[in-house]
Amino acid sequence: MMGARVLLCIGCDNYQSPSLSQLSGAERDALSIHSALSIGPLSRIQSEDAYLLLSPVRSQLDAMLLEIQDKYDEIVSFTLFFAGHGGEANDSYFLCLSDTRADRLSTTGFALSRLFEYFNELKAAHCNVIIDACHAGGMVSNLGILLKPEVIGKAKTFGVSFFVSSAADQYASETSRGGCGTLALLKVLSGEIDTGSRAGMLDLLDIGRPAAQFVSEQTRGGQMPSVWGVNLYGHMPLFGNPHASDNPASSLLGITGISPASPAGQAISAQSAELYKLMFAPEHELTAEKLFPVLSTCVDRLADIPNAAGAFIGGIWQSLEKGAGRHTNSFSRVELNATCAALLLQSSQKDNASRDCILGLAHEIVTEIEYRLWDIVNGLRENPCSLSRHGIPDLFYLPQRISRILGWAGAAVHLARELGVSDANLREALEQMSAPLVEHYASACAGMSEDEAPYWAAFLTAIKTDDANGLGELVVSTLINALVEHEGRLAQPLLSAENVFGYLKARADKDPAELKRLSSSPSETLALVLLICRRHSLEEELDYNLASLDHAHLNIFLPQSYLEFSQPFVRNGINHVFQIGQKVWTVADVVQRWEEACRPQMLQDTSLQNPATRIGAICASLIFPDRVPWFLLSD
Amino acid sequence: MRDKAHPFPFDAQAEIVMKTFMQATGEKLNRAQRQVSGGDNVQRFSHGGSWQSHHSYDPDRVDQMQTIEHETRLRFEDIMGGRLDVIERTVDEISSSMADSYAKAYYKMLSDTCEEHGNVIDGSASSLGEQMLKAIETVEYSVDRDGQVSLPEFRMHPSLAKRLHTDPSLHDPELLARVEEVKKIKITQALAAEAARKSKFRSRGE
Repeated sequence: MMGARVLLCIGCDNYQSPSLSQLSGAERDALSIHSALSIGPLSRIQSEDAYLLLSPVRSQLDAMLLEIQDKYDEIVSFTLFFAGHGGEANDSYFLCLSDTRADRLSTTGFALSRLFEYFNELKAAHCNVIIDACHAGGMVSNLGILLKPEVIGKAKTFGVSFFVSSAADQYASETSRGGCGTLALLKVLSGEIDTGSRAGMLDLLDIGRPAAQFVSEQTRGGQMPSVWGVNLYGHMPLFGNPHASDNPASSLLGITGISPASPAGQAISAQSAELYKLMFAPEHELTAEKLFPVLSTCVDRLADIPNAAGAFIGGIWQSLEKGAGRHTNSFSRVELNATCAALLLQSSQKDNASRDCILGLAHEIVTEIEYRLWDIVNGLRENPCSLSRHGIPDLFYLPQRISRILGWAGAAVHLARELGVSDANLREALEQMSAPLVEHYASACAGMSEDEAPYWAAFLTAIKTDDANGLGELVVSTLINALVEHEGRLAQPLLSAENVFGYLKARADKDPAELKRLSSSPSETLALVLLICRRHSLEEELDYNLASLDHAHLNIFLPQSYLEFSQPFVRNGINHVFQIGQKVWTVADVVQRWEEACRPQMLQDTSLQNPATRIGAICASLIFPDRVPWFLLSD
Repeated sequence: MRDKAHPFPFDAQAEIVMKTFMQATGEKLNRAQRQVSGGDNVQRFSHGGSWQSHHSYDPDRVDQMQTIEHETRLRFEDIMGGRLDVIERTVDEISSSMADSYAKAYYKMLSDTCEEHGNVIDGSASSLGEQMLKAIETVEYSVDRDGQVSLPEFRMHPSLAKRLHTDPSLHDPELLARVEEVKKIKITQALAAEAARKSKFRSRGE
């Protein structure tokens, strides 16, 4: 038997030992979940693969798990539901079965780590663990006890998701309607609670998070079930979505999982320790810089296996995006989506799964940016200073913040065009945002760091001169002023935070030696300003100021192929270098060479003819801002 | 060896110390490179293995980056012997070897460019004094960012430098007077060329 989805539901009402009270709703809950997940049109589990144990003793559970082990050669997903008493002893978590004694939990309970040993033997790609426990002694306050190395360390070759709800005495009353957690899960499965997702399928995290929220609201914050998970082998759907609709973004969720026994599965499991480490990291550490090296190692291993990279990244995205919303950076979900798209850039033309995943992520990015922009618009309406966060450091970081917001807005417009969807809502948000930006942030919106270049390229090519209350013209003129005033010396790309104060001080003191040390030559921002000023009616203004930039070097880096554009170092490509005052005396001189040498190079690059590659390249430049998507100026 | 378990490995700390060591070596190398090519001409690229200088004599030419590398061996005995002088020796070895390779590549690039554009002087026919005068006549003077004329610099082999002090043809008063005259003309020409260059920028009065 190949590729089964297996369900085991355990409900334990009867306890032999007087140390554990008799319960009344646990068996009923196990039966309800068993029926909900294995019967009906939305079920993904065949009824012959669904097992039920009511008030078993330990030996019965062992026997059942052994039977399942023997019966299946390969399991796509194994879902275990437990309702009954649970407890902690010696820093470990135990399920209490019929013959368990509360005073001998370690020796008579069924340890979670033992369960994971079985999971390991089952060779399932993914295990879902749902525990709705009544605690005789204390509650599980956090996932720490479940995610201990002796438990999770065994999950080397499978993905795992948890939903753990626990409350004292919830099954004790005869009138009990069942466990709070189970009740909430059933409400999600029936569609009574809307997860917000319109995808065709839901996984345990999709179902568990709104259920946990419901429990928290019902108990007025008294109980918050823990939900945590990681998909190693692609998205692992548990149940059909009662609220599914034909949203293009849902194509992301249609990607099938990867079998752990397949070459792709083996390539992933070899890397699973690093992946788990990544998933354990606090959310604020899940930045593109942290994710990219680990995930790209996996993607590289999957490079020669058809469609594996797309399925893998799709699954990882599922695991991570649910947590991204709680990040202090409100654009973290956008950056996560873009990181995933950038990871698939290399395979964007050879694999349909990668292409589909990039297009799905692009839809997500456009929708998410629309939300984020309107949030900012509302914030600015309430308080015009709402884009400021720090004191002195914001002298440097405010222009970075504004360029990123507008850069992503511009990128969303480009992505919407690539996808053939309307950009009207984005444009409206930009229009609304531009007035307070022009009024309050005119002198601090741009011109501090070379890192701004890709964002301004994305923004300034996405709008027309008359759009957004002349914000484009304001940005270009602010950049010109900053470049002229500091002789083209903006802070070097990816300047470390330790050097930011030094750079600010050097600019304040007009200290040429320090400015030189902390800036970069040649400058891509200067190249951008020269190429884009005509579009924003500032060519003449820049021509008159060009003598102040005499001797400054500028650079346009064009890769040989944009498929490589997300690599930390793009090895192949030409740096087109110019020097002001040497064959460059006017804007037209640079534009002419751009037309003669740079544009032809891009026209010859066949990688740019593919929409998924262009989307991936835009995403790569906005998460790694030491590269500029110059092809946007060529369109 | 690094993959095996090790008692008190101090790997992370060692990495930081090594980073600092490489930084010190890099600084020394930078100083040596500045002596060869000056500090203003350094450009840093984040990506790519080639570049095209659109402001050069040959704007359509694409040049490839060259890698300069050096391998050094450290003896365990030196470390086990607590020999601190190994630090200075290794820094010197790496930085001077790489600086030498850099200087060779730099002078080769200068030489190739001069050969390519016919900007060479035949040294076999005339005296050293005549050759120097011809070099001064051939070379174009440049004007720095502050508007000052930079006199040409002569880079030569130590044996030739020694001859400069002793060769009588270089002390001929007539030759010295001609050198001064050429210098004056060259300076005037350089200032005129700089003024012409600057006039190519647009100004509001136009």
